[in-house]
Amino acid sequence: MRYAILLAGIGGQGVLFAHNVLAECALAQGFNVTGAETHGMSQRGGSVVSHLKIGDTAAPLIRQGTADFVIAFDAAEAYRALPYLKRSGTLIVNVSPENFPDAQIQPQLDAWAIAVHACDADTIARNLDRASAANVALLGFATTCENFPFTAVALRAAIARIAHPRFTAFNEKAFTEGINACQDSHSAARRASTVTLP
Amino acid sequence: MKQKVVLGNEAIARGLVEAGVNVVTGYPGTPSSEIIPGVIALKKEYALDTYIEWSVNEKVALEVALAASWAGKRAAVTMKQVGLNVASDPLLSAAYTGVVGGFVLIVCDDPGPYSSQTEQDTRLFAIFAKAPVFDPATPRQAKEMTRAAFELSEKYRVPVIVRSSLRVSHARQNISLDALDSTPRAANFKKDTARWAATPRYRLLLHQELNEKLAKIKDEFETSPFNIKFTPTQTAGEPQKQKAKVRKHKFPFGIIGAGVPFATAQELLDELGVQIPMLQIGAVYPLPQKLVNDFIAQRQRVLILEEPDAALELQIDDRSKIHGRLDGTIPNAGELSPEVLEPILTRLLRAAGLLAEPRAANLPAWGAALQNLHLPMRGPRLCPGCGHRSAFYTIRRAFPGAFYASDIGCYTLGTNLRAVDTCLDMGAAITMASGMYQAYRLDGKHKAIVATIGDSTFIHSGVTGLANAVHTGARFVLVILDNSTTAMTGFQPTADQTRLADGTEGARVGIPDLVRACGVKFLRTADPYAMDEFQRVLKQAEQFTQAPDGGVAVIIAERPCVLNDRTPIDEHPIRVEVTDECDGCKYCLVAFECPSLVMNVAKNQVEINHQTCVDCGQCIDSCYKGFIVESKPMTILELAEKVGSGNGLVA
Repeated sequence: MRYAILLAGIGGQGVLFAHNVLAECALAQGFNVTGAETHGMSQRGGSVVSHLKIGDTAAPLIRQGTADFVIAFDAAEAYRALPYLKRSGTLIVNVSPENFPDAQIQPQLDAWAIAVHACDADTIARNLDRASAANVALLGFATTCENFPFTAVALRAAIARIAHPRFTAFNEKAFTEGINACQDSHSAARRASTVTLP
Repeated sequence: MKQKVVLGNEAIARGLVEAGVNVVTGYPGTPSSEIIPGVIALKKEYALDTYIEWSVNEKVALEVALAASWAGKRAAVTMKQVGLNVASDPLLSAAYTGVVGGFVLIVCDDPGPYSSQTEQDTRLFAIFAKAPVFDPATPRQAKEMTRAAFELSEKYRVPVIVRSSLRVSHARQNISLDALDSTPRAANFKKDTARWAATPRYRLLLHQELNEKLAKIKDEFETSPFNIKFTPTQTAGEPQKQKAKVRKHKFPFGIIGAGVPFATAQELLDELGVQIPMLQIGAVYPLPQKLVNDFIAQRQRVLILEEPDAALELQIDDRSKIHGRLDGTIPNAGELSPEVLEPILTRLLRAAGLLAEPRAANLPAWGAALQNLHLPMRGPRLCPGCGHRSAFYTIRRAFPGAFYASDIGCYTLGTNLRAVDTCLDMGAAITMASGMYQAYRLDGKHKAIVATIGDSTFIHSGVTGLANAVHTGARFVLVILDNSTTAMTGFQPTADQTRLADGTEGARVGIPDLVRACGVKFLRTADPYAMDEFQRVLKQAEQFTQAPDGGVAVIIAERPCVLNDRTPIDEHPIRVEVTDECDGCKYCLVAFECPSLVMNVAKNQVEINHQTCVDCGQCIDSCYKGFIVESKPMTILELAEKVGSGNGLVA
């Protein structure tokens, strides 16, 4: 079993925190995790990409064309990360659904059978007066997406274990609002589903 | 056994502590910087009495740790790969003298390179220095090898290197938390001048002794648990014809690898459903020749996978069956990423008859379609509110055509403001300025020269260059960009502060005192945020460099790193806005280059991104037309909102 999730964003968006939450969640369910993250010069306002592999592998990097999920905290970074997705992979992106994807890229998305789930996590976070909680809102939204390997319950618990206690209240709210942002017809079924790792 | 997901560098820190290390020193540098904080955290967690220091440079760090080893303590030193260049002098000597307590160097390479000036291979340095080296592929292996390195070092009394790399140090993996070694090791230096103060006559004997040690270590590595053979367990996926071939002849293809590329190949083969014989060499030098030669003898072709250079391949005496970097199969520069390795591996597997030709039609590539979207390029930039930006902006304004020598640190990003012409290595801003001055002086020409260097880098290796410049009569302006921390690598304290690595108090070694002690006669301190005053001081400094009794003029630009200490801005926030008169000329974007100044293409006007803006107000000067202005003062409510929203991550 192997599961590859690529997280993409910009320095300061909390990409590494999201990575740690997902890794912690996988470990708690008894899986090995390996990943790679970006530090140093490439972190100064630049693109931040973090690779997370769940299951038995020793290689930290996800090869292009093999990621099950891309979780992008920024629309431009989402486009940039698309080549990492496998055929029938899923893109979760922090952008208002009406602004994504660009029509020019639609034929490619169709050819690769990529499922796109967009959620304006920035607005959710801003409405909660905490712009930096967008990462947590997007994680909440991710749990409503088909085939996402973690349940909301498990992910919520992982966030609580990792985040600083003084952020708990904000994170709780942001996570719940992220889940509520899933408005499509399957939302109820998805929210109730208990998808776990394949 | 309890498991925990940790960063590779934290796994190494764990390995050090589990080995009962007594002394840990180092100088920060990506990708090695998290090891010492990891040791500090474990010291607190287990209430250990480990001595830990951020030294002023890598040479100093190595020597401090080495002396502790000579006293009988277990000691380690951490650095990035180019740090070993700085520390090479004591390393080569210490290989001859040997050690007493286990002495381990953790050196982190940067294939890519992502945050370094070279892609050099520390394993080649290990061969050059005659120091055994381990090459982990994962954080788990890095922890185990760190522990084993102490055992090896103590058994043979040699310095041992654990060569980590970016994808190990900044990988994140679950590791087991094992028990800590608590063997007491008393400080007890035994005098032996023939060894610890060896003259050249004794050095020959020590060299011979080192060679004997290495021969024994080589024998030990033949059966090292870190050199692992993987034999195909099944041939289910292989074509029938291939099976017959395998039985009659040697297996057509095998891989010998080290480090991350070996793990990458393992995963690729797994995906392809191909099993071939593989040999992982975790103990790279001295190379266990018999193990390697036996493996090669049983295959028709062997691919060597390692990075960033050919340390393993170069040690193989008969390379007639070898593919690797030396025959051009593997590129000689850049990271050996899965994308680079995949086509090489599949081509060789097909050539060996182990992989069928591709059947499925290729999916459309993303490249062209994504190019049409004109995605914003996001290179590294100085942060909004960074004092370096204000300094560079003013330096350019004061001396538009000057030669700008700079150095290693955040301020290398002054290239974005076109205020950095050279960046060579740690401390070179000052020596580049000296040499450039002498070159122009020979021609009888005056050239305005402004060198910029950070506070930590100045103490690391700028001081010696400054002493040299003053002594030899060089004339230039030196701006020491003092942001009160080592910012790029994660806010480690500098010697100019009283805070030590573990938070305790030390003595301050003041930069002004160091500058004066070098004989500098012009020294001013200025806040780069006060641009007009800063420019006035710059001009004064330049005049001093041209005065009859002038010389090097030093300005210390004091402004705390905005990520590390925001109090000065929070106390006097200057909220700015762009007026509706903005004509979209983009001058501010080019000249001031702040990430919070963004172009609204639809309106053809510049806007302030208040999400990232820190209200420093420094950009006001960069619109010479006066369209960037201070907003009306914030209400208490707005101020509360601003403070409440913070600037950090949700963690």
